Amino acid sequence: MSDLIKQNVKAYISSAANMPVSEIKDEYVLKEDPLKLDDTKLGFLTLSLRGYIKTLNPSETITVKEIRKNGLSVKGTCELVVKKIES
Amino acid sequence: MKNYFPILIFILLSVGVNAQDSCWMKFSNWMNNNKISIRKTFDGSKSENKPACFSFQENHRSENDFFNLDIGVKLFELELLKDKTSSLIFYPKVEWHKSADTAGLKNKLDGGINFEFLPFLLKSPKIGGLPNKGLIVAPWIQGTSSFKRNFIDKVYETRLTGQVSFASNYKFMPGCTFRDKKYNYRGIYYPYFGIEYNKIPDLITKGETEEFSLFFSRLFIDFWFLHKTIEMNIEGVYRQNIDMSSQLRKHLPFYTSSLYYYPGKQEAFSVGFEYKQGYDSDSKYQLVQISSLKVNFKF
Repeated sequence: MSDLIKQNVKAYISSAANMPVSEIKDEYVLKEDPLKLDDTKLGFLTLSLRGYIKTLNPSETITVKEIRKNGLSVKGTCELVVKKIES
Repeated sequence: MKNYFPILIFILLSVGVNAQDSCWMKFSNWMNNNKISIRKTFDGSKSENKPACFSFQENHRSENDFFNLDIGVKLFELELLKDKTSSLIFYPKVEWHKSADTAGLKNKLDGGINFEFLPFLLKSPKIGGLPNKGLIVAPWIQGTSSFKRNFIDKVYETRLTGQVSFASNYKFMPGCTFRDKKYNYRGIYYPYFGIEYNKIPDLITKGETEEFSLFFSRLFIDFWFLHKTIEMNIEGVYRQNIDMSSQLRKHLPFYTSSLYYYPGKQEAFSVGFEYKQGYDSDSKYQLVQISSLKVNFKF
């Protein structure tokens, strides 16, 4: 289950960054090169991830502040979403 | 003073190259942990992504060369609508803008509260069977308030701004990252449309306060010529005075272009060159034509 969630989170990130999913590496930081998602895109990414989380665990949510946190990596984002869905 | 600037740049370049494991990074991490951001400004433009800046400038309209300092600090964020399909965030900010230009001395301390509102979800292309509601191009709204103490003229100035921009995950649309064949980041662009209200004492006539509103449209383009090394920003703003009672001129175009060099393939520190021309809102809407050598740092 968690592998599927991680794959899906990467699909949302790849769409926001306009990169193929196959190019999205765990160690990439959302705000930094090569993803370079700015605060606006991270805000919209949060709303997409929130919608996804709520389809699987309606009592949980994710905030813009959590996704805009400096240094947050793809791996960190996946783990955050998995934690929220499986909590 | 001009002779010292290359030396200063050289020293700071050395600092920047070694930034990855220096006390610079430790300070940056401390800022992150305390949720404090430092930028050039928090005026609602894409300058919010630009680093705080120390620059040496040449004014083409006078014989002045001078130093300039632009620092904005975002203190914290208050996020509302945490369970909704929208996002609303308020944040207080404090800014300091200082210029030693004898033709336009500036020393302003600025405080205010800004907000950012994302009303709709953004649709994603090629996302398979995952939840994917939203718009192909979605608006986002920003409001900024600025209450400034002008220490030069010993007056208080007010500016309130509301603007809408657009973002998308679809190629060639605003806010969609463009990339080269190797998927390197190459750039992004955003259009803005908005209204601003100003209350500025001594703007045109000494002793009189000008109150006026402006419609504006702005286009911001970010483009990387050389991956992780050389960045170009272009920003064009057209403002129109919609308050007929104001003595301010009706058409106020303004253009800025800048080129930045990031040593050592890091993103926290850069040096650059900026050219701006037009009626600058930060210089009381006076006609300016200024070139700058800049040292930028971002936390």
